[in-house]
Formats: sequence, C-alpha cells, structure tokens
Amino acid sequence: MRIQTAVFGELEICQDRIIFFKEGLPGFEELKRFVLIILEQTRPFLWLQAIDRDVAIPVISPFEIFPHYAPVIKDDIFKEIGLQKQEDLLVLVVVVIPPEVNLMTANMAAPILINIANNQGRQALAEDSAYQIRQPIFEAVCQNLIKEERHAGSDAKE
Amino acid sequence: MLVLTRKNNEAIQVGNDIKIVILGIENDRVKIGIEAPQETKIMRAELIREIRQINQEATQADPCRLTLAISQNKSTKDKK
Repeated sequence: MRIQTAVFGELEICQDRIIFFKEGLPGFEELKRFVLIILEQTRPFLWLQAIDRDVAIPVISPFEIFPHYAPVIKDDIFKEIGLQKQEDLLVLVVVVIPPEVNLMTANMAAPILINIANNQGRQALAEDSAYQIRQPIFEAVCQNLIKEERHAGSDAKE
Repeated sequence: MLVLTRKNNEAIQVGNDIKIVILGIENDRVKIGIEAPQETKIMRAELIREIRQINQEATQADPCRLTLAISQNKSTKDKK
C-alpha cells in the first residue's frame, strides 16, 4: 500500500508494520491505523504517521528523558492491547515541537503503549501524577546526543 | 443535560452499576466518589481535553527545523 504524506513524501507501507489503535488517539479518534517512521535526521525522535489521513505525530522514547520512567498504568490497558510479555511493550511519548525548538515538551503523563507482538496500540493516562503532560525535554535530549557522539567517537578510535 | 441537586453523602445511580456519591462540599470544591466497573474509564474532563490538544499541537512540528536544531546542537558541542 502506498500513501502520500506532506512530510515524508510517498511511503510504501507493509501491512505487517501497521499499528492499530482501536480507539484512535485522543484528538484523532477517527484514525485507527498508524506506522512508526524512523528518520535518521530526526533521531531520537520518531514519527507516528496516520494511514487514513496525512497526520504525523513526533514521538520519543520516554527513557531518553527519564531512564527510570515508570508511570502507574492500569492492568486493563495492557489487557486491551493483548500484552503477554513485558518485552513486547514499546513505550513512546508525544512531543510538541514549537517553532522555537528548544521549548519542546513531551507528554510524559499519557504514554503511547504498543504491543509489538500484535501491533495493537493505545494512548494511556498514568494513574499517578508523577509525570507532567508538558515536560520540557530539550536539555535531556541534547545531553543524550552528546553522549552518543562521544561513544561513536571512541568506537571509531579503536 | 439532567440536573440534580444533592446534599453531602447523597448519591446518584447511573444505570445498574455506576454510583456517584457526594463525599464532601467545601467552599467551591466538591469531593466526589465514583463506584464503577473496572473497565469504565473515568478521568477529569479537562485532562482528556488537554491530551487531545497536545496531540493536535504535536502534528504541527516541522521536521526540517528539528533536523537543523539537532545538527546545530551536535556541531556546537563538538567545538567545545
């Protein structure tokens, strides 16, 4: 299947890469099918691209920001996406990137949970209030990029 | 919208399995208890509105600007 997107141009979508959100995403309840796009230039940010309308949502792994990220999520939500093993869980958070990029925030209180074993996803709301819905993340992301660069640099020397 | 007036400790039954109890009234705040089946999703209305708003705002991101910010960040750090 091919789809046209403003951001990524024409995309060839493999059926087995489609992630199903039974209830859509809040604000996009009518959109049930997405693909996760990895763009090298925008790493560590990924993109959730809707299939049925040209909508792309930037996301990031919350562990990039808080390595010990552990929101309280109701068991029902894991059941809803049919999760059987912890290893099958992919957690992402939605990032708002304003024109002033350094003011970017992530919604740490409402992670997107994806069961990679069956490609079922859902945006959940944490039961606890430990995390902010507009958490500034620019500093943390930059720090990680620097660390990675250093690693890459030291690998090259070996 | 159905409008009911309730006193402290009075309740409202919604359908067979949802009960809403007024647990306390203090100035302009009302404490409400809700008994509902596990699968019923209950959340503060403004919170779900805010999440919708954030998701919609997120789609406005400009990948080019982001790419630029990432590469600039890398290059300024390299100079240090």
